[in-house]
Amino acid sequence: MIFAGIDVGSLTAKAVLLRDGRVIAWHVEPVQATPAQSAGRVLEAALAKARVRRADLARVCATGYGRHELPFADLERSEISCHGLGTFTSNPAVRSVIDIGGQDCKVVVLDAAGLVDDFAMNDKCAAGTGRTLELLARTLGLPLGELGPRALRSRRALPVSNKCSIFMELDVMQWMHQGRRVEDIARGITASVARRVAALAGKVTLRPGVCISGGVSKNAAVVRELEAALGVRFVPLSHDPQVMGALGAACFARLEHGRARQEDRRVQEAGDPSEPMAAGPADAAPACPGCTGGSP
Amino acid sequence: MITAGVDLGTRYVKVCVVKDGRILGADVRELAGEFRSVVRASERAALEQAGLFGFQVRKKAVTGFGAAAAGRALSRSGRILDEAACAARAVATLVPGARTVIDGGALFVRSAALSPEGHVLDRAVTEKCAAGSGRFLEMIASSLCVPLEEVSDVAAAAARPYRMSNSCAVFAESEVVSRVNQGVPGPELLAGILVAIAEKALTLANRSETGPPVVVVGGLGHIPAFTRTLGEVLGHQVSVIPMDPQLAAAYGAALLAGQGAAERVSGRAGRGP
Repeated sequence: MIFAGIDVGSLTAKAVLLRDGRVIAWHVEPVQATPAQSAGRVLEAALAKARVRRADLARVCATGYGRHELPFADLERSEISCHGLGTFTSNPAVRSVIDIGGQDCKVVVLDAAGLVDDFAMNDKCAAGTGRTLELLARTLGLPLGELGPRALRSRRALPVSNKCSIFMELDVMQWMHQGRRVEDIARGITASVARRVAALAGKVTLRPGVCISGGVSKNAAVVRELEAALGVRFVPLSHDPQVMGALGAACFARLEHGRARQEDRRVQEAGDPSEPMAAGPADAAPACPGCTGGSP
Repeated sequence: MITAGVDLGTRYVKVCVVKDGRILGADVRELAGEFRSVVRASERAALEQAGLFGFQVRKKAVTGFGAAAAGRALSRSGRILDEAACAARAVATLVPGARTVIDGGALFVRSAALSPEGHVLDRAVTEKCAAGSGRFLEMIASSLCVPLEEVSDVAAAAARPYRMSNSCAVFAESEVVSRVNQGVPGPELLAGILVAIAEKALTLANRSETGPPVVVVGGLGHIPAFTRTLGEVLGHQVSVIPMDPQLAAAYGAALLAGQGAAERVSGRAGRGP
């Protein structure tokens, strides 16, 4: 039985396919004009990688910024829940998640079942997100992937504001005008982003077993600064940290499927269709294995 | 007496060479590359336009975000003056009786309340973020593929402004992109951004006792639709300073450079309410 999770973020779309609780394929690509287009493309790509057809999917769960606009999703879950369950699935030791995505940054605290206990999220300001790094890497004239490695080569971070991405850009430009080393400016940027995220993490009580997910977790300098700022070592994840939301969504699709089947069974065992409980399972029944995925 | 004012902003450097209140030469150029050489080139261009040599400038003053850095870097750079005081002096000279100055710059938006004599009574400036700045408008306009010069014409075509739900420049940019994809017309989005910027200026103006007449200076003064929107939001008559609004602070600095200490004091640190 195959389940799909799709996470349409602000900058990239991700899809994960799950068979028997194991990841069989995943795919990440930049977003298209509409969330439905992005989701369609990324799902097709993941299906192609796994060599399975859309009709083989038992259930599809959507999450992320564009989740309300996907016609082929059977269910939706919030990014918070999905990042929680995704990281927990990837490493059951996880109890706190720091997710830094393209335009958002969230800190999620989990219970022993991988479900959300508490969270904090940036909502008014984009400072301390992937977009900040993208903007500032461009200002520095570096490809995004170079920013982390160059920052790691610096021994002294130049001070960069952490109030607003645009103000940060100004600070960076001033250091550049003064002819400072690109490495030191890059380190200033990554330290500034880390400070910002650490401040957000201060709003909740982190539980031991902290991991980092989202695209920004691929920036080794931000990860190092953040570990120092929080005084923790991040626990590793067994999958690409960028697809945790999609993985969590696929897990929710699987859970939902199991729940619906259980209720089906209960109804069959009870053998009484006039029972008031029957309304729910009857609704869920058409989405059972073999007949889903194609309904627009 | 010939004086010069240099306004080293966040995006542009502006230089004004003034004699007896009249502008003899001026220059505006983008701060790209090493800033000292840009400032020097800009000064040279303004002097050339005035038909003067550097030694003929008797007094010079520097203002703007980069003034402190420039003061250290440039020899004989003259006094460093407060931006609000410079803008206020320019406004008081050209629009006697003005009581409020709104300075829409690249990164900062400032509001200043003036006394009937044109001294700064109180002022407020955006500190935490670039929402409502010229850079914000620039980002949104470029994501809509509208050149800044055409913003006014395009916004004028809007049936009604679209209300943005984000004030962060980065969030607003992605909000604009998704609304475009949903089919919201560009003019309505642009008109909505102008409302958002005007409301930011209103918030600042409300921090001190400001009243009409209101005069706009700074780069945003180049956008007539902004001035119009600001008038609607403030509920007052709003005009643009009758000169290149981007040069206003440099002009004010040149005027103040030629004056004594009394004016300098009026431009010192503002009080909070």
